[in-house]
Amino acid sequence: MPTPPEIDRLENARAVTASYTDFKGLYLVIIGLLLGTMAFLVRDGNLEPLILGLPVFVVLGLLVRAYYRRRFGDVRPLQTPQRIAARTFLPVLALVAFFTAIAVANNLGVNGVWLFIAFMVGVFLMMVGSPWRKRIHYLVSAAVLAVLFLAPLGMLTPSGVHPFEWEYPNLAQVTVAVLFVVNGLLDHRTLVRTLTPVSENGTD
Amino acid sequence: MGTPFEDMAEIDRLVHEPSRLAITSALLSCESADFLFLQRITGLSKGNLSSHLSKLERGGIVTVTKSTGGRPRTTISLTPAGRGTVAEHWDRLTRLRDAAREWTAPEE
Repeated sequence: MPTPPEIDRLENARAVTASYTDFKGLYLVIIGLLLGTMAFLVRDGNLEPLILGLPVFVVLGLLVRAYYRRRFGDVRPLQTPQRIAARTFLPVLALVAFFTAIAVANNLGVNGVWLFIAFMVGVFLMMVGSPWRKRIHYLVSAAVLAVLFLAPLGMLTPSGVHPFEWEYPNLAQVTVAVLFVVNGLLDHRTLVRTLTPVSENGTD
Repeated sequence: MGTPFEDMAEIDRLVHEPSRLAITSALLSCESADFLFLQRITGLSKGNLSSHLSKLERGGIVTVTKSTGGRPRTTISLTPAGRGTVAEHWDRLTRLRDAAREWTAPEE
């Protein structure tokens, strides 16, 4: 009979298998790099760098896909009603709510940074998912972002403006990008530690 | 009153073997997984994994599908009956673990 630590190990394997897609953190690293790069390159509404840079990041995404398939294999997740809701309806709802809020803020002439931060805090909280203990860094990221936004950092700058409200570089976007990269690397580390390399000489 | 370990007599030996339990436990958490993923998650060599999968396939617990077009790929999934067996086995294991934690041997 498996001992309790063995059962815990098996439960860990089950959790990683169930959320395998979520632990492919290099995708999030690419999104973070895209966001970070664009925060410096996109200026005065000129979207040329985004149009030129997007194909590069798409290619990077394809390379990451090939890497995961070759190194760790593939899993088709269980399509439970909860998962379908979490993967489709929730993101669509969040995006619709975000764009509606942006439109309202633009019409009212309100600064939209707090909307972006609130949206990103929500995104990080949604990404905690299950098992939350393995993805607690998303919870920490949500807290870090909220604290940085609420802290009176404007007092430290010569202009007195909070760094998240600077027009260039967009530091709110850069912070989110950095958090994406860090979280992605932590997810990837979980995957690498759980899916250990196979020794072909091994016996059982 | 019996001990919680009496439940062990009911254990399915085909699924309970440690390597096969690792394979079926992973499969219980997804629709299907490919050979490489199962190798990585269980830490088994190709030969060992193939051998265990053959036993599970013969026992009607898993289905092994080999794709023909493009890169050859082997996909493994639990059969509906196998999913029921493994889920029941997990229930039994967690019950046993909980019971063993609470149980104290009677003094002789």
